[in-house]
Amino acid sequence: MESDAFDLAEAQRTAERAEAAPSVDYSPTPRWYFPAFGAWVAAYVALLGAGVHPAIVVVGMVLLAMLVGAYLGWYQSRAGAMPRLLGGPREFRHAYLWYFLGLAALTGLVALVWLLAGHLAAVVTAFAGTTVGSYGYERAYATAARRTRERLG
Amino acid sequence: MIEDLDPVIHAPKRLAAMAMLSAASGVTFPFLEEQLGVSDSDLSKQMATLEKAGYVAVAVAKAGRGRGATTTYKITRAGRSAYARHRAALAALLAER
Repeated sequence: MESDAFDLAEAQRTAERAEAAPSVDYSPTPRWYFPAFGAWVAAYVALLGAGVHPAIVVVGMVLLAMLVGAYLGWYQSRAGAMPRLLGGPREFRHAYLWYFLGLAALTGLVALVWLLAGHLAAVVTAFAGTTVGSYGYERAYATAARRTRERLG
Repeated sequence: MIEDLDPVIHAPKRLAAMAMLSAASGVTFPFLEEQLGVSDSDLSKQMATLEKAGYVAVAVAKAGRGRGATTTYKITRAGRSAYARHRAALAALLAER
């Protein structure tokens, strides 16, 4: 029946829009996030080359990991949904690819800077690279969200 | 075939809820409520139906003002499989027409 076909088509549209909702319906990232993320990564690099007792390095890394957990919990409660990386709208694949490529590139750059210019320079590079890179990712994510909304109507 | 559609999932609000849950590691009650445009009590009923079917589980339930305001749901493994089958059946039915 035509009405059955309509209902099924409407059901599929409903499902597609709802599947995209966790990715496209989100609160804007607060400005403090980018330098905070930069500081977190810089702290990680700083710990690695601090030359302190390994137990202190371990405790420091555990604390940094706990900060990530706290942030994710805060984000979840603020945003309402934590989108999965896999299976999201196809418009986001480009942004995710650039995220992982950027991460690999920054890791390589920090290592290179550490080798050539020392630990402190590596910490500064980690901070600056992460701050700028995370802002760039946010822009790519916002573009993907807009394109997804345009496709789904 | 039409009987391949899951009657628990096919209801519009539950379909949308399952769709959101399938795409997220956790979804809060307020987010579902806002996206679905339903009342507290209606959403609670829909989610209870999905929980009873074993398709969703409460990931975080904070005390205070009951389950509603800060409850977070997640899709179960059975729910993910059921939703994937339902979506495949939907797509197959539409392709036939």
